[in-house]
Amino acid sequence: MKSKKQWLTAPGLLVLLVFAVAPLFIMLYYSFLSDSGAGFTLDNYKVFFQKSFYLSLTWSTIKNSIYVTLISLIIAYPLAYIMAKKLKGIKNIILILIIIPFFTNQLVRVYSWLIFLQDGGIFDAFLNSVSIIEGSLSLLYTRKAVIIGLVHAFFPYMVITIYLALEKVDNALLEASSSLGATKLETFRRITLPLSRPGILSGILLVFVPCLGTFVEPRILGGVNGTVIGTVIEDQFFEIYGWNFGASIAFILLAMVLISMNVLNYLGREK
Amino acid sequence: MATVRLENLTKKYGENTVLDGISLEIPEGTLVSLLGPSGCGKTTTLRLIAGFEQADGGDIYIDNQRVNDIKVHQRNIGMVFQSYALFPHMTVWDNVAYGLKQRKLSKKEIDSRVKDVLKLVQLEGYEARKPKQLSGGQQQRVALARALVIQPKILLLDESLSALDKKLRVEMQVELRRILDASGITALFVTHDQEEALTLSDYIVVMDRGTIVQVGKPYEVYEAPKNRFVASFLGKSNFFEGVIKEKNDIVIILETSFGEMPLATSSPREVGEAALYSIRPEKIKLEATDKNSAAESISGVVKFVTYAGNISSYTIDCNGLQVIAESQNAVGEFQFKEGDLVFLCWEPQFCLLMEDEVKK
Ligand SMILES: Nc1ncnc2c1ncn2[C@@H]1O[C@H](COP(=O)(O)OP(=O)(O)O)[C@@H](O)[C@H]1O
Ligand SMILES: [Mg+2]
Repeated sequence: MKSKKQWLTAPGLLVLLVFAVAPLFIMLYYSFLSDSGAGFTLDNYKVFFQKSFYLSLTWSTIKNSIYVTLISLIIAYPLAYIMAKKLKGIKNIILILIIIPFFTNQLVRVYSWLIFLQDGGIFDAFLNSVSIIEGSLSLLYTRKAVIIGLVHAFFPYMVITIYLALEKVDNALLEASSSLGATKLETFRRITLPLSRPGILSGILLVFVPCLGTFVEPRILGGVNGTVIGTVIEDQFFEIYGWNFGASIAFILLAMVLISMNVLNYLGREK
Repeated sequence: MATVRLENLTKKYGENTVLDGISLEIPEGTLVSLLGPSGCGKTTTLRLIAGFEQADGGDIYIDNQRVNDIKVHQRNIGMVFQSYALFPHMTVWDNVAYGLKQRKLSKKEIDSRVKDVLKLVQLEGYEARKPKQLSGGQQQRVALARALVIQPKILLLDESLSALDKKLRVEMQVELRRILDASGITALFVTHDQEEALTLSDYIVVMDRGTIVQVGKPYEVYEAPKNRFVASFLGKSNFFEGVIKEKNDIVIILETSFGEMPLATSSPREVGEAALYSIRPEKIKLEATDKNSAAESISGVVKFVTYAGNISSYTIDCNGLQVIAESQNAVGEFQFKEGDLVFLCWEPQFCLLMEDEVKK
């Protein structure tokens, strides 16, 4: 019986092997190839760590991802809390509104931000009309624009993971806490927040990790100011044809992803 | 420890009146149970006392202080939830200490009180466990300890034993009684299990559709149910409904839809009045010959005999009316068999007049 059931995993494993693991090994192979064609070398990795440009690039990529993650968390938590604990009927409508970005084409989403944020665009026009600013904020082609675009792309993951965690927090626990003498704030601090921690951590994972490797938003909304690891890798493959170096950066990125996943796992383990 | 008084308490959810002006006094140091079918408003009553819900009318007094407008966290009430509601991310110790930490007591005081209460509920040695590492009965005791340790004015328990299996439930009933007696606390206990209410409480409050039907000591409510609802919800009863045709001090002749029936009872109702009478199955004695000297007894034919170990239950067809009689299996064999003609005898005081309105 047991071995029969295990066979059922074969098709899935095969797909994984062919489409995920194999390309990974091919890239790994490239990352050690010397450009001169003279066998294997560590040069592709050395270059990355020797040039300060790449190190500061790494740092600003990480910083970008941290900003996006924090902003998403700050927006998402109250929203998820209100949806899970305060709303009944319209909750589903809000959920759908939050999920819509998942279904829209990435380019459509990004280009609509382009139109929205450009000088004299809708955003400026609105702020001008309510007299908050005069002229233009000149947001487009800055890091701020990249962060706005990325927050929009990724904060739904944060809302949904936190919402699911909060939804599972039994209201009887909150009532028990207040009957034991805790104020609303104390109940939040000692019961709600700790119980939603797994949701927060998986939200952070789902936002921070993909942010590290993204290149569409930085390229389109950030222009020359939007250079991040993702765009550099893309350039290596499609502009400069430096596949070997591109592959090595991709693996350094993968290492960063694995490290951050482990750190988050470590934080999320049960105490 | 305190006296709790409800005056004319009313609660509505939209159009639905869930509590319809209930009044009740819970004396200090007693265990009172709210008994009634599902949906009759028991949980709502507890939630109003705890402060989770606001009353639409009426007042709640604890020690003569009106608490309607006092917030939950300031009411000092212990609640044991049906689901226990233990904090899953905290150990047994932290769960129990939670309320004391909110009260900003010294660490020394907290330690000694938590220790004492864990001893009381016999959970020493389990301090470091998480709730999910405990059995249902143990979780129940943690919930009880957590509510008791804050020395609440009143302890509210919502069907706290109903999630346990039968054997454990009976054990916990005894245990609960011991713990409550030891702490001398005033407690209000919700249950839909009549046996639990009878064995556990000092007073039983029988509720039906948002009203209180009867309040009394367990034996009072059982032996003298006020109406058909109480007589049939708490234990089993036989009912006789009809118009009184003749009467003397110990017997009436009741004109029922199953014909005339002589009932041994001393009823205040007059000839010509309609009335409903009830009698418990175990109060009926079956005889092969009529032993009633004052008048003839009801007679009938045994239809079914059900053997239930300690008792036998006889279903008797009295001219179409099914009457149930139970007797102890004292002799180890059936007294009567199906098809036997039997006479139904009882002491007049056991045949009770019900307060229900009866149409002629
Ligand atoms: N939050 C609520 N909203 C609407 N109706 C409710 C709510 N809580 C309880 N009810 C209704 O009130 C009635 C009494 O409920 P409850 O007090 O829980 O009964 P019990 O505990 O006796 O089973 C039920 O008909 C129930 O449907
Ligand atoms: Mg209930």
